[in-house]
Amino acid sequence: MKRWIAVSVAAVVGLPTVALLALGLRFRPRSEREDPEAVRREVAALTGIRDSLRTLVYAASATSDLLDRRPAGDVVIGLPTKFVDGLVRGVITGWFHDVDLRLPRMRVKKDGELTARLGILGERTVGAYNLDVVLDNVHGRLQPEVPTLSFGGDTISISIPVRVAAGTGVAKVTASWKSKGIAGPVCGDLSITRDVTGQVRARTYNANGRIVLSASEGRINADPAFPDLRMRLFIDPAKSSVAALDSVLATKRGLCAFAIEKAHVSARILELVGHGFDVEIPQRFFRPIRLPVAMETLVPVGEHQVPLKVTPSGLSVTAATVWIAASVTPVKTAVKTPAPGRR
Amino acid sequence: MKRALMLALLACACVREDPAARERIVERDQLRREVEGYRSLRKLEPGKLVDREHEVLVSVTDTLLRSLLDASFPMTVDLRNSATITLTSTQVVLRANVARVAITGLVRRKRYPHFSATVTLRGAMDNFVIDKARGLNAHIHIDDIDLDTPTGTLAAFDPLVIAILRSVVERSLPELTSELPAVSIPVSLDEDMKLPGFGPEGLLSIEPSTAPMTFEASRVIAFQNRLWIILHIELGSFAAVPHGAKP
Repeated sequence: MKRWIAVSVAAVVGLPTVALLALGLRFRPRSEREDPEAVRREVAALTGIRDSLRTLVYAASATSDLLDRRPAGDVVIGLPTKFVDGLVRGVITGWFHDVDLRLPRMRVKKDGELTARLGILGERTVGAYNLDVVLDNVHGRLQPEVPTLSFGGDTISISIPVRVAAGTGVAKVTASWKSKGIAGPVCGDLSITRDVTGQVRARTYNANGRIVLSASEGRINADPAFPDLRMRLFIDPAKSSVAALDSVLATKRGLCAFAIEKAHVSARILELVGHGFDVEIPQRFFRPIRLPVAMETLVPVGEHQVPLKVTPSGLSVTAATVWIAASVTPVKTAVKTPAPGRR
Repeated sequence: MKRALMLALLACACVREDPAARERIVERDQLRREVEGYRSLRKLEPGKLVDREHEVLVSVTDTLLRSLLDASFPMTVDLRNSATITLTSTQVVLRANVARVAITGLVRRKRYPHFSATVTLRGAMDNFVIDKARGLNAHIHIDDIDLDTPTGTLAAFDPLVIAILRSVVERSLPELTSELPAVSIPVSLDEDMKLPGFGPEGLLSIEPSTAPMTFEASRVIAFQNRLWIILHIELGSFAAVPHGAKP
């Protein structure tokens, strides 16, 4: 009987005890699975390593020019100037490398009187000439070359050599001759019109301006601002065209021929065209570039989209970095639609 | 009966954890992570932290990250049908090159006897990736679980309750981690660079063009209460867009 009671008591007390001990062992905390002394030694060693590494890393970051004049903001985007430089070069050489240029009608005129020594009659006015050159249908290619950018003082200065190449044009040349004095009755008046074809002379111009950075809706736009690009376009008339003009003039004989020869009509046309034509390329020649990293105004959080209020807080340009900063705060009401994808 | 109760209390006492020892382990784990982070930075040559020709910096404050994470709470996760965990708030600390995250909530046993305890999931943000649909985002990796203030049982059983709940949570860590919200960094990245055409009327004419851009999160550095993400960007070749198509 006593034995039975002892077994029962042992079962009642022992089994729960064993169960509790088993539970205790099964759910033994992590700290008891590791040697505390070994952990303490490792913490001391790691603290020393961490502190020395931290000193080195902080010293490196403090001396880096990359983080100079970083504006304050919840989100800050820093574009190294070398990156921006590469991007602008990529755009200019990759996209803007060959632009079709079609010039508007241009006109130049020249007139004057011509005198000649006519023997015993002495120096006499023999006539007046009038040259009218209308340049029409001039096509060329604008080929921007590698730009030079300089950063600092919150601005980006840019200089782009722009080459005008491979152009052709047609000049309508009207040469008029009005005889005067004793040449009048003999020579009479003369007016001829001929097309003179020419080649646009390849030349490189420097476009100097700056890139204006602006932030809107969290984006950085790089907008090139150039004064209108003025260029003097030179056209070399084709020799055959000038010869054709000369051949018409050469049909005149006698005093008339003498007067026309004195007038050096073709030479004057060449001289006139040789001065070149002033052309103004509008500043929109260079287009704004949207930089590829921007602030987001809607972020996915779980199954929702949370709108963000983005307020620009700074934009600065140093010699090393272009910075944009914004204060960003989540707007309380989440949009309860699955994320359709980002902008 | 008295003896049985004593033994039970003894068993409970056996599982009582030394808080200092536990804290040392957590500190050790964090130090390991910090040292690993610093060592990865030290591997880089001086001045080579950022490839200035192909990399850009994106930096966010711990305050913003916390408020973005908080926006997804409260959230409840079922742990293998034996407990539920409701996460309510978060703390983000960015220093020593570690983006530490502590998420607090309540873990509750679903079966009888019902009991619960406050829980803190301690870990770090890692695995920064650029996802087409979600942009730049990071995942939270849980290193350690801290439980406290149990309710639903006698105080004498607190250590046991904590041990049981800890075991449930620890065993469910993979599922719990996958349920945690990704941290989206509020930065948008263009997949390509589109440049408009102009003309043919007017002085100049040019075809619209587009060039693909590729992004990759190459390094993440946490210091001075900010998270710095270094993005590697490659601009592809420009190609003209056919007439009629939008660049």
